[in-house]
Amino acid sequence: MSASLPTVRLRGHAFWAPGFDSLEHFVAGEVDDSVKKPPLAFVPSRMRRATSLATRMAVECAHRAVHAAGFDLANTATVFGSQHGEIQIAVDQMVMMEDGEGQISPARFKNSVHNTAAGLFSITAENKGFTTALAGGDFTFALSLLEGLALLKAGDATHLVVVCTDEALPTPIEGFSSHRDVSIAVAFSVEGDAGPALGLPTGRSETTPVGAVPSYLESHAAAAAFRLIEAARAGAKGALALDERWQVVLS
Amino acid sequence: MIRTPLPITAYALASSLGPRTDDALRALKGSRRGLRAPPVDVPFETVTGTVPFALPELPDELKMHDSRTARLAFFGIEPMRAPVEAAVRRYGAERVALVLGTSTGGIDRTEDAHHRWWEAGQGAAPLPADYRYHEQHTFHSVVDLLGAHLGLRGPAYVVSTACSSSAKVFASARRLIELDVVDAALVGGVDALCHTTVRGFHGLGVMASEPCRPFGANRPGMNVGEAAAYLLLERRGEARAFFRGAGESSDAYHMSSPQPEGLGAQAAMRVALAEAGIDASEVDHVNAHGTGTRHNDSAEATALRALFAKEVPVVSTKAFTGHTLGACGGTEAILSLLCLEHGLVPAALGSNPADEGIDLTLPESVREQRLRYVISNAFAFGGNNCSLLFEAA
Repeated sequence: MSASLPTVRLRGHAFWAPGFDSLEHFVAGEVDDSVKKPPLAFVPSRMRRATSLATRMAVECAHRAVHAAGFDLANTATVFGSQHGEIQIAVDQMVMMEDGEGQISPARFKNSVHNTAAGLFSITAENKGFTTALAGGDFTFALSLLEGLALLKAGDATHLVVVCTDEALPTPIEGFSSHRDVSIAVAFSVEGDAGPALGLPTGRSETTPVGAVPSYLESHAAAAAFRLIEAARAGAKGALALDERWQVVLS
Repeated sequence: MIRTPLPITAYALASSLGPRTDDALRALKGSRRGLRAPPVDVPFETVTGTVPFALPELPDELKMHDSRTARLAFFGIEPMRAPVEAAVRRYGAERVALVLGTSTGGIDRTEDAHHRWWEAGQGAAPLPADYRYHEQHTFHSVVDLLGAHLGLRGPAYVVSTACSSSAKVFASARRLIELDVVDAALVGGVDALCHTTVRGFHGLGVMASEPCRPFGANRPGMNVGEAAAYLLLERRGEARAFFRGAGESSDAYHMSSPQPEGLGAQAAMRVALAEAGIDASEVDHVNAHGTGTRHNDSAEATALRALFAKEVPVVSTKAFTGHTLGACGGTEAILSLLCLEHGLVPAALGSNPADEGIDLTLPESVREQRLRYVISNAFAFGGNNCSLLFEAA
């Protein structure tokens, strides 16, 4: 099968973090204090209720990446990667267990699953196709990219957005990681001739150094997405180290 | 697109039906439920698919991962060690993937640590010294545990799409094999009972205080369960059964309620059939998602009748195991394979009389019947659907 694999190209991206409404502002270090919440203008307020910052960031970025690439919302497959998922809601529920009768809010519980963003995207995009939600520890973006690019190269989809999102860990577990709130989405397609072509991620060659990222992204799984977008914007070719274990070849 | 059949060369299930796969087979044959008191103290009446055996402690070198999920995952993997080690010898450790579904990870450890911290005055004391968030709670911790234990070095990750998690892993693993990334994959799922899921489904108002009765009249709701289910997919090998198709779709309708006509479920089943290149009339048995809740069963029944004749026997094995959530795709895949291998259709426990509008054949007792094709459904929060098609070897 490998002899006839379709060419997959990187077609666009999106970025959101508190204070930064775009990757360009983030790279330039231009903090905008008015950027506090993802706007989610396309999500009815009743559906936004009881969702986490992680889900709001992820769905905002997924929609933006689809638009940036010129894709159709209803026909774009999505992979939502997150190392920690709905950790804020998980801890909120543990607080609820301690209070009163120990009941969990149904509104919070139905938004507590790792695929909450995937579900909210499919509903708001009216997308009845493929979506999934993954976790791969420190290598979450690379493994989400593998899942997504495999989908395209196997012929199961033609347009794809891979989103990598995590929110900061809440009290009392905040000491286990210093990562901050970030979501990055990258769009790919098997059509078009613009954008670098990508192979499937593979185990990393030790000779390939892992590129530095801004301190804001340190210990965040989305740092690998940042490296990929920056390499593509710089016109880089060859093997790119996504993280300590995975690389992808750009051509 | 018709996909190449993939051999399933080994499988193992630890569930509320007993510690090993043979226990599950005996329960299916004997129409014996595995529903009992939950392992967590909750302020309401319920029964759950609790494993009926003590979960052994992890060995010293893996104790850092300790949680109820990790103990169940580790206990359940023992029968798979030999076939997985044989696959590693055959293909190389880098050529065997590990793709598992879970919806809880080891969250019970954080529940416990959080409770002790709360009782101590919410910050007046540190978190317990033996609590390790990354190694115990995170979704990926179970993959780290099993990968280290089995010496696997291929792609290793978790699919966590709630109740479709360990069904979707079949499709993910197949793509990795088709694209020559790996030659084999250990797939399946593990979820353990914990406060979050037992109390969460109770909060939604869908938990039964008695054994569930999927598709039945006046059904009381669902029972949450726990299980560790593992299957080995290989590029080639001596098949116990074949994985023939997987359909993945979205309802695009509601976060926690299915599209009422089951349109997303229909789409998933149609893709699974198309991948195998067979007609719906060739399917001998359906292992339904069948949670036992009113809306889910109604939507699935409508979807099933849109594709299949009434005569096709439909059974929800959640009446045996409870709803094992992130492990249900793998659990019910294995129960489907037991039916294929042993020529049986289980009894649809508690399903008769069927609810008004449920126009399905829900067997009142276990049947001996030669089967060739079985479909197993898994539908999840977020409108995330996955249907799997298996063929007898």
